[in-house]
Amino acid sequence: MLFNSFSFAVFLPLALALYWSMQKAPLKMQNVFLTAASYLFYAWWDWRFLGLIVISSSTDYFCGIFIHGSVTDRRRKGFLLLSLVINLGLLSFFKYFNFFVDSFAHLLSELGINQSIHTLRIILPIGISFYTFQTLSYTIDVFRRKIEPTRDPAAFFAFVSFFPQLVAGPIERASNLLPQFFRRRSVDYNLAREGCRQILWGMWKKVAVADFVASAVNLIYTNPGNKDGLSLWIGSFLFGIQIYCDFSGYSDIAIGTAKLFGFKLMRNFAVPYFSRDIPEFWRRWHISLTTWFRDYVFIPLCGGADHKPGRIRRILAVLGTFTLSGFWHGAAWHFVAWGFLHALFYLPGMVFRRRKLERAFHPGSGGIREWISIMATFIAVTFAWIFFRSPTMSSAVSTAGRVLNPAMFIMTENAWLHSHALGFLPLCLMVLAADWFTRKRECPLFALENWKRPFRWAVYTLVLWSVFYHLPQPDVNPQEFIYFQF
Amino acid sequence: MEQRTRGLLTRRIELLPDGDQRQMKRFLRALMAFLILQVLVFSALTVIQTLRDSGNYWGASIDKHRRLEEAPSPRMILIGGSGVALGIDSEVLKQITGYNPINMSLAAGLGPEFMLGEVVEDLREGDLVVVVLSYEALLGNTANRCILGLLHSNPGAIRYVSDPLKLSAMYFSHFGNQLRNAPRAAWELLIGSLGLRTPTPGELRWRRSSFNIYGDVIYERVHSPDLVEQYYRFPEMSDEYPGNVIDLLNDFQSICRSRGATAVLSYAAIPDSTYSLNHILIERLHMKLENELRMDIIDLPARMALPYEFFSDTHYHLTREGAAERSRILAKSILVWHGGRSVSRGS
Repeated sequence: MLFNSFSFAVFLPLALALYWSMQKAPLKMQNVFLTAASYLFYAWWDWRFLGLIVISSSTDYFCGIFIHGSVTDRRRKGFLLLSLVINLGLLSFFKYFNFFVDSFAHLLSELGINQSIHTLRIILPIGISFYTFQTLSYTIDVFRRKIEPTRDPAAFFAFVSFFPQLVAGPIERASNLLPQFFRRRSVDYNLAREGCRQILWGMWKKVAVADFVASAVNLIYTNPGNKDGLSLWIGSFLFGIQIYCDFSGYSDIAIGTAKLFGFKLMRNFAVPYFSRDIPEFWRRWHISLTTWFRDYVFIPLCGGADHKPGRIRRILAVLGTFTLSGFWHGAAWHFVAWGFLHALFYLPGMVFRRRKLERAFHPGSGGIREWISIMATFIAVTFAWIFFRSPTMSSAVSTAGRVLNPAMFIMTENAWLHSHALGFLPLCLMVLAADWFTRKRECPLFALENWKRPFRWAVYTLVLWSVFYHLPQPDVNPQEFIYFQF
Repeated sequence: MEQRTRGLLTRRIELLPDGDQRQMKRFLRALMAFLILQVLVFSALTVIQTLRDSGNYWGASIDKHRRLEEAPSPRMILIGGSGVALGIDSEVLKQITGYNPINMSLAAGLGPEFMLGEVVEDLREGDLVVVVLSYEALLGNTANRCILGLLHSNPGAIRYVSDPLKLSAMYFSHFGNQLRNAPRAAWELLIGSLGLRTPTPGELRWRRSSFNIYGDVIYERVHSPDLVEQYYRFPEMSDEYPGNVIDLLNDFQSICRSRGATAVLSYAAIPDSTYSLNHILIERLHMKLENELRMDIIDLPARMALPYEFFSDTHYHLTREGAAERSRILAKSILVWHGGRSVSRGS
């Protein structure tokens, strides 16, 4: 079920009405209901893959208990390994099997060995990367003795499958989300109001901006070999806006929806395009994934939280973490290259910075130098998007070559394309301006808090009707969120 | 009723613990107020859309109905799809037959039931109703997907809808589209009034002012070979087709008779190449209609197969020359059916 579909518009109020009318029922009943609602939400897409969620949830539920109950380290490690093998095994099979087979076949042909190797027709189960990471983090945290395992299956299954964040995050940590399933949720007017605002803003970003801008991006990235350097830069800039609005829009809707049920999810985006360097960008972009990779990949690669690694080891850890992060996004070399490129952009700041800069989290006080840093970071991120958006590695390399070649800017036959694509500029600037002026808040609409109700509602009404204005035509299905494919 | 609803809502809220009840009531009150505001905005936007759309192609329905009320007898009422709106020269018909033509046609997508129902109220003694349905309609495709578009331009036409329940279902199934179109209409009207938007070529063509007083589309149309499929294949006729359409036409004929009017069927004009491709199917259809229809069929399908060059942008839309030629053929068919005399000379 898509958040931007009619079925979700019916599902959400019904689920909410039933959920809140069970307030006097035992907490366990509410959690069972949430699990059932989440499974229905997922099954709307394809019920056959519900089994994977059940396998993943059961594995980690029992592994958590067994790890905690094990006396010897060997047994503890054994159960952790079991969880890793099952979860990563499912992920690898469904997401990476064909990639490895293809890459192996390609390698053989490069070596002059011609073998006909067949791939399987595997459907990628939606959200598998997200819930696998979420449930894995629970087991690893139990193993690290950071949290106690739960013996309440209703709460745990609800935690893994909680529908607002099931298919595209935020990837919640058990330490934040799981305890919320043990507390009685009470109706909170302010929280519900915040949730509605966040859903509205997320819908606007997704429907009115991301899906709208996508038409220009698709136009430019269809046969990029025919486009000049300027068109490709514009395309990459627009894609940057598209993916930001698509994914942060999804996160806003997820967080807002969770608030309607009385849950607080972690923030996933914090004005990333106003970052002053790449490390800061990654503290602001897809925060739940970045922190996951930091805690479960980067820190172990550095030798653990208590270990101070040398410079070389840290560099290797950064390269490894980002490359793996790129691979997490998609089973293709251009995603790996995207991750690696970000690692290269990340390293100078880490290697050459003499001391850790103590910066305010919110930019806006550093004057012209700060703006230059923001612009430079933005350009680097925009360049890297080429690798993310291109359909193949060779296309990405060719496009990157064209945008860096000054000779490619003198082509004039794409003048129409420039004017067409630049028509989207006001909308993009509006998104960036909204982010900038409300950068200290989780959602731009929260900035209206102190406005008088008629003015506030006038803005909400404008935003809402702008969403309706951009709804797809009746014979066109609503566009999926980009991150669903990961 | 209201009390019962309120009671139900209160009972639901009372399921909540005491502390939550106030919060929930407050939230629901705010939500309801916001939703009511949105309903008002939606209503206002729909009115704006109706104002804007009254000038579009469907808006011609208003003028056609006015002419249907006012035109003097003897009248010839033409019913059909866009192939008749863009395929008849009423002046030619008038000159040859002596009837006062009223071309009620707009689009086949309104469905035969609606198109026939539109004229029933205004039938008079001595009226000749010429029904020209598309081959798709005669073969059983009676879809009426365009009704909502017409109702936006001419809300009064709702009285011609035979099944309001079906219409409501259609409205709700297209509600998302309506949510999308209402703000678009307001926005286009706003930027249009500020001079920031020039109408598209399509909008300039497909508008109310493109019709003459008889109801024929009069904008200039040229033959576009890249748009008109020379060899268009019609869908096959299954055994039960076109029962529903024949019943409709027979019922309509009975109503016409009861009002002293006469209904006849004429075939749609199509390119001769398309006719050749489909002639077996068309002849089968013709046989079936001859056997089952209680309405006179005044011409043969082959007579309405015209040169490909007479068609403008689809295999039903004629150029102006094509429309004049088709009207001459139709007028002659009417005269033959009449026994060779024009109405103005007394029949």
